[in-house]
Order: sequence, then structure tokens, then C-alpha cells
Amino acid sequence: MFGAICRVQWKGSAAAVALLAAAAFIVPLLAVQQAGFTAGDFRTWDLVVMLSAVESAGALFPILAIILGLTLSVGAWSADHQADHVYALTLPIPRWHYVLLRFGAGLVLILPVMLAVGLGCAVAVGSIDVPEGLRAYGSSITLRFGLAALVSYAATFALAAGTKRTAATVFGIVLALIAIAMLLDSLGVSANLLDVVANAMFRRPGPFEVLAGPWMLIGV
Amino acid sequence: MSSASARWCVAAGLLLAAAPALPGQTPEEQAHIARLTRRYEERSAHLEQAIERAAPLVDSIRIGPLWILSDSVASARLRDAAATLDRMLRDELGGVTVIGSAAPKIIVRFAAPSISWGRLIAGDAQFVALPFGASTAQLARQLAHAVQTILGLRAGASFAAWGADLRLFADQQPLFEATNVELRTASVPGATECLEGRLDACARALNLPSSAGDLDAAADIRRFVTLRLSHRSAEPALAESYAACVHQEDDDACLRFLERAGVAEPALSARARGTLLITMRVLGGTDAFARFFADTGAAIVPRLEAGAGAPLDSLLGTWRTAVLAQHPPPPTLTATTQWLVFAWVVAFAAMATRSTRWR
Repeated sequence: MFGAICRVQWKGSAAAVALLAAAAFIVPLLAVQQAGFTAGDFRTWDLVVMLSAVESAGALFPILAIILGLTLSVGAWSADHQADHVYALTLPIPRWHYVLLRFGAGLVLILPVMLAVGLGCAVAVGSIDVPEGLRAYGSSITLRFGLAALVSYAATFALAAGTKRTAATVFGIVLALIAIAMLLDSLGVSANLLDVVANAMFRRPGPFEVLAGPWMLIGV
Repeated sequence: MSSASARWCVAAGLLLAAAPALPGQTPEEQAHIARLTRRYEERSAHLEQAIERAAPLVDSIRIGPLWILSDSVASARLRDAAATLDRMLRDELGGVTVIGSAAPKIIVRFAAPSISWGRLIAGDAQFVALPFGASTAQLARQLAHAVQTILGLRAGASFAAWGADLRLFADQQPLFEATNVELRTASVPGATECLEGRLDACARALNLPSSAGDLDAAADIRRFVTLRLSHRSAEPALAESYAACVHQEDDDACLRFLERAGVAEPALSARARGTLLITMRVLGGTDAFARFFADTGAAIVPRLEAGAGAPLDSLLGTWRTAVLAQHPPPPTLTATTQWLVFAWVVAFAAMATRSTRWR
């Protein structure tokens, strides 16, 4: 059954996965090219600037991971949502089992994009001589990308598994937080509500810690 | 004059007072600088008088020659902070003797909680504006910064010309980590050779007088001129030396260009130079800064040697070892982060199975 669900999900998401894999392959190449590492003269005054360029280009990795997670989670549920979950309800398996099969199929589809990142990093790093004192972190970036896509996918999958009402509640809470923060700010109360929420999400032990911070393909 | 504009005026005045006429300044610019300097001096004198008038009315704390003046608000906290400062001075600087015999003043003003923290320097006095709610630790930190500034202003011409950041009470690790990155990436004359272990090259990279004449510095200087100063290539006084430096690769022309452009030979940043002072303190013990400040008229190298109680090579060797030891952590994921991601993925998957759609 898992194979069948994988095939169905692959058919629905193949184009998006292929597109994202292509983008994932290009991003590392873009990072070294943007930074000027391919120009040949590494011992320049702008090595710090070059590292900044690597960092800027590295910001594309978490964005790509989020897009991948979102695409796969939406793709995982789109068929069921369109058919009002009739197919799922006719299957002779418990609901939790069906959800995990869907979840697992989405996880499998992360792999090609993760591999594309790894391949892109390898080609990008292989195409340059990493300057003295600096190191390439291709495998680290690939692993991090995989984990970032995984957690993004899991979070959006859980949200998509719920009803429209659940999704609306979550978005409502987010909007309410923003509105309350703006109101407090206009009243001169420095509650830093959004900072608190952002810290809870993006700092340890928050779920999206892996997305935060610089993504350096080349670093010291 | 508002406090903000006064602050800018004083800051600009200080910078201008410290900078004599630069080559290439027009008479209009020099007249403008003179006007600003006069305004700064008038403003300083006015503030000094205000301090003298205010002094008897406010709460005052003495730490050796140092005066800390304040209104009576938060007096107890300020006294605790002063005691902390006293301890910091004793631990880091071997006491207050380093401040000298003059009586510098730190004037602390408490204001509304929303005030932005700020400091204003006027002659021997420093104004520190703080919110009412500032904790003892925050007060002590601000007082320490004020003392640091006082010392920086009294550190003498050789120190000012060398241009190091004086960071007496800062967390050292980030400073050394940043210096490590800088040494590996800045590519200033001497940096690579310093990494390889040549101490005279380290001196040159740190903008200290050096005998490292045979360094491969010409290429570095040419890159600096090409990448950072090309916008001045069309200036009539510089065009010839720029062309000879960049196009004909004439090393002497590069140095001539820098000299005529009024630009110093590139070196590691003031922050990196500041780490040499921290190393001097480590080598020389708590009295290191007292010795460093003992003769502010001397050249920088003898002062550093006196502070460290060791020859320059030894100081540079210790500095280099300390910098290389502080390699910043690589941008890799920790095992904890990886396990946390898996824990969250399991939690989200569990949430999905418990979704309201299925109940």
C-alpha cells in the first residue's frame, strides 16, 4: 500500500519536485559564483565580502526547504481533500495508519531534492579551489537542508491534515498575535510579543531552529 | 541646543580636534573644521561649568581619583554598581592608579524607562543617561564603559596613532574569534605570513613598526588600491601614481599613491589590535595597564613591552597562539539540534494522526 501511495503522491508532485530539485542543484553553484570564488583570485581584499555573498546566497536554502515542505504537504493531501476523504475512509486500515503512510510518502519525496542539494554542493565546491584558511561545508549544508525540509514538511503536513477550521484557527492566532503586538506597540508597551513568539519558534528548543542562522557553504 | 545635537556636535568636535588638517582639504573645509572645533570647545567649557555648578547638589561617589556624580534617584543601586566597578578595576587593571591623578567625572542621569542609553563626553566628564529601571549590573557595565573611554582619551598620542580598540571588560572570546576570521580573510600585508608563523609579519598586520620588509606586501597593497581606492584614480594629484601602481605594477608607485591619498597602509582592524592589548594584560598581569599607561608619551612598542613585561616578539607569539586557538565553531549542526528536529517531526506527525478530521 505504501508503494501505491508513493506512486500517487509522486504523480501529483513530480513536476514541483523536479523543479525544486533543479533549483536545489543551482543554489550552491550560485553561491560560489555570486561570491566570486570562480574568478580565480582568492586572496583578494574582498574575501570577507565574498563570505558575506556566500551567506546571502545561502539564505535561499531555508527558503527552498520551506517551499519544498509546503509543496509536499499540500500535495500529500490534495487528492483526499478534493474527494472529501472518501477513498481514505473506505480503506480497511486505521486512520492513524493511513496518515502515517501519507506522511512517509512525502518524506520519500524530500530525498531527490536533498540529493540535488548534495550534488550541487559537490559540483560547486569541486569547481573551485577553496582558499587557504576556509573550508567547504557541502555535506553539512545537505544534511541541514534535509532536516529543514523535514521539519517544514511535518509542520505543514500536520496543519493540512486538519480541517479548514483548524487551519483558520492557526492563522487567526498568528494574525491576532501580530495585531496585539501592534496595539501594544502603539500604546507604548514594550512587550516584544512577536520577539517572544519568534524566539520560541526559531531558537532552541523551538521546531524551526534548524532554519535559523547563516547557511555557509564556504566558511572559516 | 538639544541633547542629541549637542552630542553630535561634541562627537564631531572630538573627531575634528583629534584630526589635524588632512592633505587635500580645501580652505573652505579647513574653515568649517575650525568653526566646528570652536563650537566644540565653547560647548565643552559650558558643560564643564554646568558640572561644577551641579556637583555640590548631587550624590557623589569616589573611587580613587574617579568621581561618580548623580542625582539621588537609584542611589543605592549606583553605590552597588560603583562597588562592582571598583572590583572590576582592581581585577582587570590592578586598581585605580591607572586612571591617573586628574579627577575624571562620570555624571549619571536617570530618565524615563524609554530613554535610549547614551553617553556624552565633555572634557574630563562623561554623561551617562540611563533609564530608571537599569539594574546594578547594567549600571556597572555603563560605568565600566565610561572608564574605558576616559582611559582611551588619556592613552597618549602613540596609542591614538596606533588606533586600537580598548576593550577592558568585554567578553574576550568573540573578539578573538572575530580576529581569527579577520586574520584568515582580510589579506592585509603580513596576514598570511603571520598565519604561517612570522612574528614580524604579525607586527606589520597589526600596524606596529616592523622590520618585515621582505613580505609579499606589494600585491596586497595593489589589490587594496585597485579594489578600494579606484574612485580616486581620476584626481589630478593621484592619477599618475594610480596608473603606475595598477597598470604597470610599480610597487613604489603604490606606496606613493597611498601617501599622496593620505591613506594609511591597510592593517587588521582596531578591534583586532585591541586583542593585542588583552594579550598584553594576560602576559603582564593585573599591573599591565598601569605600566602601559605609566609613560603615555613613549612610542607604542616600548609601552606594549612594558605592559606585557616581555619583548614584542613574545607578546606577538602569545597573541598569535591565542588568536589561532579561537577558531569560531564551524557552521555544522549539533547532535542536539538533529535530535530536536526528529522529536518535533514525530510530534507533528502525532498531531496529524490526532487531527480533528479523523475524530
